[in-house]
Amino acid sequence: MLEGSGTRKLGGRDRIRAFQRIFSILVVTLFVALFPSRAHAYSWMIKHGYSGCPVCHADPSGGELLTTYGRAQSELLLRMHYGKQKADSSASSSSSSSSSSDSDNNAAPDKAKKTDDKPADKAGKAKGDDDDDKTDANSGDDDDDDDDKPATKADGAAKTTPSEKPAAAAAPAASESSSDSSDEDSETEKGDFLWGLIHTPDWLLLGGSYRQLSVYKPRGTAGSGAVLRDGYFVTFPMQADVYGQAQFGNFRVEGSLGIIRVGDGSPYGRAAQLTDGQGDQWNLLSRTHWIGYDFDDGKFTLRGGHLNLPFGVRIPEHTMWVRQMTRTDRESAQQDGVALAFNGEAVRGEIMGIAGNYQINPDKYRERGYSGYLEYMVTSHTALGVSSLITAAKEDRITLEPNVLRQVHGVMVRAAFSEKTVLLAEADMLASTDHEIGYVGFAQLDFEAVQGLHFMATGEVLDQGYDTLHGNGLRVVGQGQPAFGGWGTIDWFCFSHVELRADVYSRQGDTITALGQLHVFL
Amino acid sequence: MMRPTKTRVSLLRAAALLVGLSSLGLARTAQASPDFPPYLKEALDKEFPSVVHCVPLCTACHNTTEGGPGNLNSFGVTLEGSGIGLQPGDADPAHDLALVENAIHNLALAMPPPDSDHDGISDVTELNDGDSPSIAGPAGVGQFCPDIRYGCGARIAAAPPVDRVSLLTSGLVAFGLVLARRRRSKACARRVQR
Repeated sequence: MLEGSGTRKLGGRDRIRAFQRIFSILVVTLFVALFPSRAHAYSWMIKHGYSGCPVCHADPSGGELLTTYGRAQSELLLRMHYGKQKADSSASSSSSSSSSSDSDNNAAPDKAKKTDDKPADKAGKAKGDDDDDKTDANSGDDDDDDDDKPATKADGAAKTTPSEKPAAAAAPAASESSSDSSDEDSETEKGDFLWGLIHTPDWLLLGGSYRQLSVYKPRGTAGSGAVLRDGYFVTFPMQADVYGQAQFGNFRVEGSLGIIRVGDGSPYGRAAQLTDGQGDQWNLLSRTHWIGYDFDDGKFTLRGGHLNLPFGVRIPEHTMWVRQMTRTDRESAQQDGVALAFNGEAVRGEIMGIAGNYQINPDKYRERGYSGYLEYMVTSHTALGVSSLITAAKEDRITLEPNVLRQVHGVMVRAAFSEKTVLLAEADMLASTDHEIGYVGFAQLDFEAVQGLHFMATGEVLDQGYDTLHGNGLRVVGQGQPAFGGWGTIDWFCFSHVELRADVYSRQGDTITALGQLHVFL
Repeated sequence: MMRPTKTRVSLLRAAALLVGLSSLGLARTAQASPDFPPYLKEALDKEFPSVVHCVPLCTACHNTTEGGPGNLNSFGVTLEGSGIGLQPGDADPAHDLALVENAIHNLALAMPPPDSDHDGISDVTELNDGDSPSIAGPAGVGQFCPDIRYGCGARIAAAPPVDRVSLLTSGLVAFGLVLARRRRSKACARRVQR
């Protein structure tokens, strides 16, 4: 009834809400104080008509921090809804489809309509705050006249853009009963930071990610060099990061902070360290931190700082050969530099001048050069792209070879075959000093059986190229001979902001490995 | 009509919780960390006790810091030939260190001394000098434990010793603040009631 000022901020007299808030604050504090984080970008969102990334992500090329709109979409399109009336009915009928009919092409907007009143509110709020034709990256809400970017994803009547979807959804949603509306509100609010327990102002985005990885390897040696014995089962915090972005007009400042602990000599996490522990102690790390400026109504974003390398399909699997061998993963392969991103009607791309990773010392180990990609929407649900990277270092930090020039050039495709099936594929040529030409590639078929439950099959191939310096005349699988690998994956977005994932993979020259992952993103 | 749905929902949620908890709770916490570089240091320390050795990277024996089977450099091949006896899928937990020690011992006794990079300096000499036995000439100098450093120079400071008096004082201050706040809240509520 009456709420004392002292308890109001913690949820009033409602003990459960107060507990939730205190718990959430504790969780955030613990994350900041104890652990590190990584991120997620789901390239298969193209099947929902989202070809570009900045609508849902702060990074114009995808990954990590979600915009307000991205949060709402993760709640509506990503997670399983357990037979909730609207979600289910819309899921069965409305997921966008590449294929056949116009009605299919309208599916994604329809889906957004069913449950999207919350993003509409937020978009509206952001728009109201932003009346000078500027893109509000935090809300993902572009001005009407610059919304052509996602519009090309849909044909004809389906030209509703992601940022328009919520607006279009407002009317039908509003016409529903008030109880339904409040249910939907509470559903989409769960997608907000900390499951809606903390509401951030429009200029601020906050996020975080925690991944607990369990590895079971019946026999053999892990890819990192870890010795996992017979029947050995390990579990460890793979990622614990928090990240945030503040926007001031067209300026944006973004950063991530996390902690990590890896073994002596491990290649993981090191290159993102802020603190200089070289052994197996805990270290602070920052995978990305940059300042950026949006111009031309948000079509272009110029950024400077520590950035993900723009290259290839931005998948979360950092140990996939195609990311590991090209050194373009988001685990710790970021570099310092300046990047210009373009998100246009049918074309998107980013080019980055690499000045080296200044979290690595001494200077001789820093790679300098460029990295970039260009992607063209061939149809509303099919994108073809090319990527290119050239770097030089006085000494390669991975192979320790001197004066290494490294080149990677490749092609990629993202295609939604139906409302449930998406193909992601990439093939790259590898060229490096003292190595013969090599190649790396992957193809991943993603089948979403029901909303939130994905079954994936992935094939990999790798030949790093025969090492003319150290090869000793031996052409082995992966170096001079092709190596093949296969992954089977079940990915279940079981709750709001909770993902459970199980992988089994087998690679030539190594033994079968099973991975289990709990991923909680704030 | 509702019951089956609810049952299904609760079953699914229970299953999700079970999988989540099992991922967290069934296994002991550990790091997927490389074991062999520290073993190599220990084996060298044991074989050559008068020399101070460092923990190398995986590149001591592998072509890249990713390590892994089938990715051996020339020194890795030499160690394999020295009877290290490790094969993919054949790691034995009880004998990992012993295997490396045995291989280093065999390497030290081998005649003529192996020279994996064919630069005229034996592997044993290069190992004890901190040079890479797999990279020939000046390029390999100091590369057994490369000078690469990660981080921006910042350090996580050691936890300072706990000052119990300060802790007690802080606790009292916090308690007082809470009491004052509660009193203020009650007073405010009374005013509103009137």
